[in-house]
Amino acid sequence: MSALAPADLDALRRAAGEAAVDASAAREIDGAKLHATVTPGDADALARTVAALAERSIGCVIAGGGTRLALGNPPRDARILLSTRGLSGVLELDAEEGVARIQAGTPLATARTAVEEAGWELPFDPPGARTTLGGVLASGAVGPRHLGYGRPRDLVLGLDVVLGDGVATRCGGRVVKNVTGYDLMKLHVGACGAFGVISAAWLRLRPRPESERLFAATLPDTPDAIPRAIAAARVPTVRACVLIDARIAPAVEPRRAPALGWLLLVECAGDEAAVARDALRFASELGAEETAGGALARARALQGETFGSVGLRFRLAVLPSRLREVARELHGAGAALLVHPGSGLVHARIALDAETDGAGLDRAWLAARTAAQGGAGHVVLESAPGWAKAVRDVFGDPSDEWRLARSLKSRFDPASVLNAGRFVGGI
Amino acid sequence: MSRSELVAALRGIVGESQCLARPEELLPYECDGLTLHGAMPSAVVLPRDTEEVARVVRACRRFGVPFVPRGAGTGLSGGAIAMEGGVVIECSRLDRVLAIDAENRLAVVQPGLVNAVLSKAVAPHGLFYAPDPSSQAACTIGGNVGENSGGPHTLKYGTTTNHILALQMVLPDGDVVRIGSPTGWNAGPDLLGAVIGGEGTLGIVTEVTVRLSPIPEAVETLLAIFPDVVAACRAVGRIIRSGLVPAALEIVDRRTIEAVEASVYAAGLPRDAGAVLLVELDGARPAVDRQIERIREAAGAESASRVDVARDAAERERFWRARKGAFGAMGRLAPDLYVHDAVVPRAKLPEVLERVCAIADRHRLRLSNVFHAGDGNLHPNISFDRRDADELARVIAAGREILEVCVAAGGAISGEHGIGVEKREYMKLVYSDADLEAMCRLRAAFDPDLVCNPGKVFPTTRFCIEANPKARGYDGVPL
Amino acid sequence: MSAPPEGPLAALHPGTLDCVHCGLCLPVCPTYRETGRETSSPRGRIYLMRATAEGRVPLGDLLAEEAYLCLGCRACETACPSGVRFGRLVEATRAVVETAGLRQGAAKRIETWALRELIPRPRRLRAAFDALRVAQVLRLDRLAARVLPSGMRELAEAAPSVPARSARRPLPERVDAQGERRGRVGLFVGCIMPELFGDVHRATIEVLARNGFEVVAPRAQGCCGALHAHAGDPSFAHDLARRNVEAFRDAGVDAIVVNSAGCGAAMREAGHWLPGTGDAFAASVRDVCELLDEVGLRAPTGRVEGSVCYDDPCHLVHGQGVRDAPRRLLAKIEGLTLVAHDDPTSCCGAAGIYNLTHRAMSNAVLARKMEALAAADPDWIASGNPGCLMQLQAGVARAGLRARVVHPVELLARAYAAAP
Repeated sequence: MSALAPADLDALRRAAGEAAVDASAAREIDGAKLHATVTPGDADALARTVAALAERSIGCVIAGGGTRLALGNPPRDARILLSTRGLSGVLELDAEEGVARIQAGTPLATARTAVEEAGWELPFDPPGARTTLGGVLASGAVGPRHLGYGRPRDLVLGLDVVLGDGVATRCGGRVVKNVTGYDLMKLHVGACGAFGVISAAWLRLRPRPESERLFAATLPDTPDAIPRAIAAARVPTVRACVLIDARIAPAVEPRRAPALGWLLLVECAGDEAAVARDALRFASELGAEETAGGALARARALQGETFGSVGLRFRLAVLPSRLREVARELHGAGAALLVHPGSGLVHARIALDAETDGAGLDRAWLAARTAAQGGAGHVVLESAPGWAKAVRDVFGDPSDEWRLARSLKSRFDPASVLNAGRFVGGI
Repeated sequence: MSRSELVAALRGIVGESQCLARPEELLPYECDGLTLHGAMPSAVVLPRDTEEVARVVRACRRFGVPFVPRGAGTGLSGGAIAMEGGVVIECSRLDRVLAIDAENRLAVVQPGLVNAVLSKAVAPHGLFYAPDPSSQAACTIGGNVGENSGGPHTLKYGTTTNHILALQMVLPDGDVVRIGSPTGWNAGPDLLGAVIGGEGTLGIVTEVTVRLSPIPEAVETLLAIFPDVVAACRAVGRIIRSGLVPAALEIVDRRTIEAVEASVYAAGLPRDAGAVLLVELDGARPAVDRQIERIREAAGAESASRVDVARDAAERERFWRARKGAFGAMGRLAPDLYVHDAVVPRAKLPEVLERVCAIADRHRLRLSNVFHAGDGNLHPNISFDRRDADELARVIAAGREILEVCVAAGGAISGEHGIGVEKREYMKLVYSDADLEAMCRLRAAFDPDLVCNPGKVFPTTRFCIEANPKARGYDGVPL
Repeated sequence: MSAPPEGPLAALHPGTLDCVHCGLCLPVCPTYRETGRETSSPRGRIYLMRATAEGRVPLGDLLAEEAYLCLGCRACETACPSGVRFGRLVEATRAVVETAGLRQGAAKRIETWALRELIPRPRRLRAAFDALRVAQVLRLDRLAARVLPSGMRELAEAAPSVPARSARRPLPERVDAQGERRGRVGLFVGCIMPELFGDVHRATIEVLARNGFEVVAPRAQGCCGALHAHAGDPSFAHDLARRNVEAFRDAGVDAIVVNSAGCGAAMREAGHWLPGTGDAFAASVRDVCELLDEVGLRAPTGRVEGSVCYDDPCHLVHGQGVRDAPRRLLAKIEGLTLVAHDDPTSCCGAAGIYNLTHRAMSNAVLARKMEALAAADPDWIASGNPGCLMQLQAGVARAGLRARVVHPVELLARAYAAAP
């Protein structure tokens, strides 16, 4: 897209603040050239900025820590990067109730520290060191502990959102039980910014567990490996359960990684006596040994790894009972898997032979879609080189929901300036 | 086009006997669980499958008549009444469990299935359906979806929106769509979240895939007696701050205890008890056993005179009767009962309760309080006689003041019952015009012509209802 | 604004105000379960009664239809948190419907004749059953079933099989207590029971005697009036009750024992029907299982092998609040295993003469009951009400189950008789 006119930059400076507009260096994301980065300093400035974008038909790509930019189709008509880094900080923290109001541009690490100091736990653990709260919520990203924490959409009590025409709105509230009007929070969480820019969120925090212990085991490549992992994931104190292909396991547990089969990591958290009981159970049933917490962090990082211009990472969501067939299909396409057996999520990494290996891409997609259908679920291409994204919608096959999404887009972002082109169906 | 033509068309779809049109037949449908508001429908249809629902919706569109889904009609905000002379689509014949997938912990059910029947059906698999509103013996899954229903176990288990995986629904234009996924993850926008709690204004749900939960290994129920409500609330605060997440925390106040013990529901509570706290713990056996001790400690630290642990199922039922009998006991005091519903941050409960009681006293009303202490969801109940116009006016005025107090304390105007007709105007206590307008955008994406359950959720002055409601079809006899 | 109630339904209006419209009665109402219609639910019916009483709608056909579509099972009363006496409201409504002449036609006339002229007259009733017995022995009933129009055919098929005369011989007027004497009780014999279920009476007397009771059956007693109250003819019912009050007053009994739940529930209304005069009578009524459980059953020593499903008669569990006593008694029989079936307290569809007047609904309700019993597949099905026994027998035959349908006292009597 063409560069920004001086009048446009002036308008943005007026809206966001002089220092908030940086047109010195351009960035590129999936083939879209972004001529400036705008970083509003507070929610009002954000609203004004978006209003200006809408008025002047300037499309933006929204980013916080930039860790989730890989997710989504190539941007369409985007000319600037709208950064939420200026909206950072914990606004309110109710240690009595266990809820907090945190701005979208706050790095999770910062939020986590503040919440832990108050005696609670922040219930998000996605990969990505610089991930912000907004990034987690907009992308719906999860880490291994989602099994115990819940999905991000289940943890948001209220949102402050700026809609695509610059109108600042609030939905939900600060109480854990609330049916006052529509649940718009769910609409925005996981919508990749298509319907609005999240500026702050009321979150439900979790209590600090009395005891946290991590266990590792190896499972041979037999038909009962996955069912055993599912059973492990369903033990009540289990907060995280990750099954990792032997091929990529050395990155997680170099000493324990098997040559064949799987590495299983299980984290228990909660009442000390209950966790101790489950520890004994894992030891006897799986031959599991306690291991240091670093393994889970490495597994988390592995989950979020991208590998440049020849790597594809699919995320499938399937029914747990079908995981075996799904794994078989994906292995057949040469994929290395990182599986969350308790929730049916499969991260499949497929390396292409070369850059622009179109045939390889097609084969990978075919395997992924076949596996997803067989698993009664769906697949998203979470991470891929730009050229691969142009071939097929990264969100997979169209569904009834896409049509409604288009209708929602036209109302929430009439000028189509927010992350246009990136979400389902290219909205 | 006339009403008789509409009725003829509807009869052609569902059959003569499944379309009610005589005034006396329509009369019981003029209200749901909330008797203060009523509106006569033009007709009531009882379809038997999705196809018939879709055809009914299209017929209503052709005739320019709105429609509203209805389950068992136990809702307490008037969500199931037909405004603007609409057609009630009664879903009670779609009442089956279609499939149970125990391995994947899900079930596919029809919207008219009674909540308690679902849990009973999946119990042999060691599973249950967690959201259990107090009306679960009668309310339907479809109704639960519309209101995002909760119940006493939401602190630990969440509400309906946390337990629905997918839906099939008839959109207001008559198209049938599927949203969500049995896997519990979306590959697109979370429309499930928008529809659940949509109060039947976004479409008619015709099939629901629910998430089932494993029946916990151990369940224990405790009853603690406190000198007053403030002490009980403080005990709850201690419990939650200590990191415990009990399955249920219910408080019943002195006025309620008196009413219950004077009624046939008497549970053997000391009449001079200031407040009763009912605690339910569930989970792994060793954890639950230790939690009992911590509950005792917390209660003792706040002057509990007694903490009893139920020894068996019969005793557990007796404890719960103290809480469940409140509704019936209050119901006997007068012809009508207004069950209020609001939420406040938990720590604010004691002061809010005090102000709520003061409001009731000032308006000379008989009030009792039952509340889900763990999540700050209060239910002030007022016994009255709606034929006494003055008392009715005082009940409504008190209701408004109670909501204002709750909002001022940082709370919300509905925790479980929804907005419906009852609280439309109070939406402005909580949301700005821009906030409400954003909700209208969601509504418009599903129902641009405002034919699906109009007159609900949004204030009548401005917003979505500015398409002036015309009285269509049968003109109801006023209440 | 609604007007203060006047007119024929005014008297029941206060009762309708107890309803808080919560809807907890809906899922337990058999007609709501079958139709899904609010109008065919207790809450809906109350709403219509109230609206009619307040003059919002004129007294009309729908109220009349619904008042009789209701089975009168009173499961709603058990579920109701507000204590609504729905049984009384429906009966009062039926009375108004009759007075207003809203039910017309040949069927109605036959019903009225049967209730007034046949049921309360033992000799006529016996003659009628004798004739029916002959017809059945000669298989004329099957012939009739083939030639009659469908409505009448169903009636013919529904007719109970009448036992031989020998089984219908009169009951002893007095039977001595066995073993240590615990009291003297009066047996209520009723109208249909002696003709069709004489064995149940004999079993009742046997069991009571073995439990230390002297049993008398005053000759002056008669029909309890339940069917008449249920058919909107309260004055006739009250007259019948008065006769029974007098018959038992001088009998000098500690309790009046009933083995028919329908009758027991009606007799317990005597204080309401006959204020003052009926109080003592009502207070002394006991269902036979209730009494035996209360005083402590002398456990039989004989065995009765097999599994039994106890199905609660509506008028025992909902109408009289007796639920666990019969089960406790059956549990004391050696060799007999109590097996649970789904929803034992829901109606079987008999409901007095409902299975004759509303066959389709009765059959639908029965089908659900048989589904539950089929799943349990017991050797015995026990129920403490003659109407239910007949209905369940018909259901067992239709569903091809192997179970034998009996009154609980019959199993007790067997156990006593089998003593080693």
